[in-house]
Amino acid sequence: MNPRPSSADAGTPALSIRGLRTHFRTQSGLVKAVDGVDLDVAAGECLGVVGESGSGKSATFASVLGLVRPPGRIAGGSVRYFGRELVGLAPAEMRAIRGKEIAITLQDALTCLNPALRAGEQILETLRRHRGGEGGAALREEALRMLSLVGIPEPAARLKQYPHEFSGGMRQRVMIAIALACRPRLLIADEPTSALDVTIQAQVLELLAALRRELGMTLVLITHDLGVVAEQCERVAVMYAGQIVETGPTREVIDAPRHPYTRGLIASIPRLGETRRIRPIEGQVPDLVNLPDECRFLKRCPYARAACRTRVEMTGAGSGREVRCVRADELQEVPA
Amino acid sequence: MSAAAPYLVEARALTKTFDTRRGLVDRLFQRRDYLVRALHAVDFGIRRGETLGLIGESGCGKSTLARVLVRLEEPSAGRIVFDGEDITAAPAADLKRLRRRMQIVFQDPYTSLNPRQSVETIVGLPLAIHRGLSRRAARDEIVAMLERVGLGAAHLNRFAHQFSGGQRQRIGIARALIVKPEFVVCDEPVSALDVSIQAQILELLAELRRELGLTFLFIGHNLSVVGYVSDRIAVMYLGELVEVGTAAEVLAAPRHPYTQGLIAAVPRVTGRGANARVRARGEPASPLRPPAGCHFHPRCPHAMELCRAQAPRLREIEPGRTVACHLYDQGPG
Repeated sequence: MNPRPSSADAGTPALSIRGLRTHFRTQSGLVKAVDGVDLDVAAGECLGVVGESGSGKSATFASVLGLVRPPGRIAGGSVRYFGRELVGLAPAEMRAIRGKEIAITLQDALTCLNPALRAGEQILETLRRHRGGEGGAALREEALRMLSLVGIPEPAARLKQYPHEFSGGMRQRVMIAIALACRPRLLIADEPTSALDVTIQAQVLELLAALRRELGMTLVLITHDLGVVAEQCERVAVMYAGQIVETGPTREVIDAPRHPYTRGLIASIPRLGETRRIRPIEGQVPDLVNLPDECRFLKRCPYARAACRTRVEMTGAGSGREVRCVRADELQEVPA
Repeated sequence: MSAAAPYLVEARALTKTFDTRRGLVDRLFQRRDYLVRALHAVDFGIRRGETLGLIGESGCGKSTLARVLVRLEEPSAGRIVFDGEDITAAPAADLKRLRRRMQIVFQDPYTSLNPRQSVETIVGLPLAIHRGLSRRAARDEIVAMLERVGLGAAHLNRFAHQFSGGQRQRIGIARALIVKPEFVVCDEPVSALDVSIQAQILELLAELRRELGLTFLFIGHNLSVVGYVSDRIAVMYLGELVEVGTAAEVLAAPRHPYTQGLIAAVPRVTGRGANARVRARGEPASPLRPPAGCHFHPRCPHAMELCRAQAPRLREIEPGRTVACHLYDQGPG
């Protein structure tokens, strides 16, 4: 289904982020929203990125796509897409990649779609930009195919409707259709189902999984819902206060979390049909302005020691896992 | 059920219809589908000290039910009974007295607090209204309440925007509880919060419930959260209750196909069962044009001829479990 010839990409990660730093200048000071993120996404895999508000998960991927606007800027680091450096790319070059190679869907489809343009027009806009050589009729045909691909009934009638005429789940599908219109090799889905009801969420997630299989697409799923990650993603990266604090195969991270924040996150979620008490993480996320160079989870961590008052790096923890905690090895023995 | 506490709150055949006609044009052309039946013949009771969880998807009428129950919205038909007293048509003077006993915590801690009022004013206002206390006289009680919800005297003169979402929800809880109500409606109180903060608020509500012997109606769309806090669960679909039972039983063995679909759709941290799912197909119909017969039939994997023609009634199919579904009919009709 993918018209693009598969190049000699084997082994090269679809996305390779190194030392990414994205800062926002605010009245109260410099906010280091993304502060030294390293992350690889293998071609064809589904990576989950988990974190709470302000953890930097959305800012990281806005940076990948060159969507950070002043007062924000990429202060350093590198983002390689199949080996090609994206940081510092001219706007025109970035536009050629965005939408065609890498696409993004955002959480709130209502505000992301243009309310004054028919759904069909918004899909055609993307198609014309990247596949303008083809005839109008062919592109309209393709727009129609995209709408049916994402499971929108009566696509021909739907093409002529405006965003407000769609339900929340249908709007999310329209946005996914726009994102998929040019068959991107990498799709970044930022909270694709957070605004949706649970039965509709299940349908959209199933759709993303099916599209990934059919189109051989690489998927980054940004979410705050560990359940979604557990069911959809092979690997997970947990973010906290602008940094990745733990990465690894999803099952292993959830069954035996190494970072105290990951542990806390898992312990604070009520599980369906289980009566075990939840344990909240005390305190709040730190203010990202003028953060000291120490473990960011320090003030909320039940295992904090004096040793945590230094800059903490990610360290390998075996079988593809990495943790940003000086006590990760000893804590392995402490029951969660 | 066995000899249990008496009902503190009862809804009896509660119906609420909204007229969506905007003006002359709609009237001239006699639009037929202008009546939204937000609630239809909703019937349940909440026993003193109990937490009843109300589950349903967007637009199913959960919040309307909350607002009608505490008379922020007038019911179109049916009765509301509070502590044995029919309050369906209680006049304003009685309502003031009643609202001291029934309070509500709203979903969005960003819009439900007045940005121009200090915490002291927000939390103190119910005291001024219901007990005529001056701010000075109320201060000790306000501080004690703030401390109870994890804030303190240092926060008295701050404004809502200076707080995080979790702290704002603590302020909303303090405002609701300061008049020592017996019944509290929590309308999606943690839906806008991050998971670690959500857990803090859930634990706070659980403590307050134990200490103060509160009766809760806890509304939510997250089944894990509602299941966690509730003794019993009521499931709502397009303005009607489709299933009511103890939380443990409803979650472990849902009877109504809609409840089954809802529970199957919840992503599990355990990551199992993701593929073998009983899915509710499609989307909820518009409450302007609910399907004939059982409202759920177009999405139901078990829909029969009868379901298209006749709406099932909510009835007890086993002790403590009521379901509105023809699958559990003893015979035709």
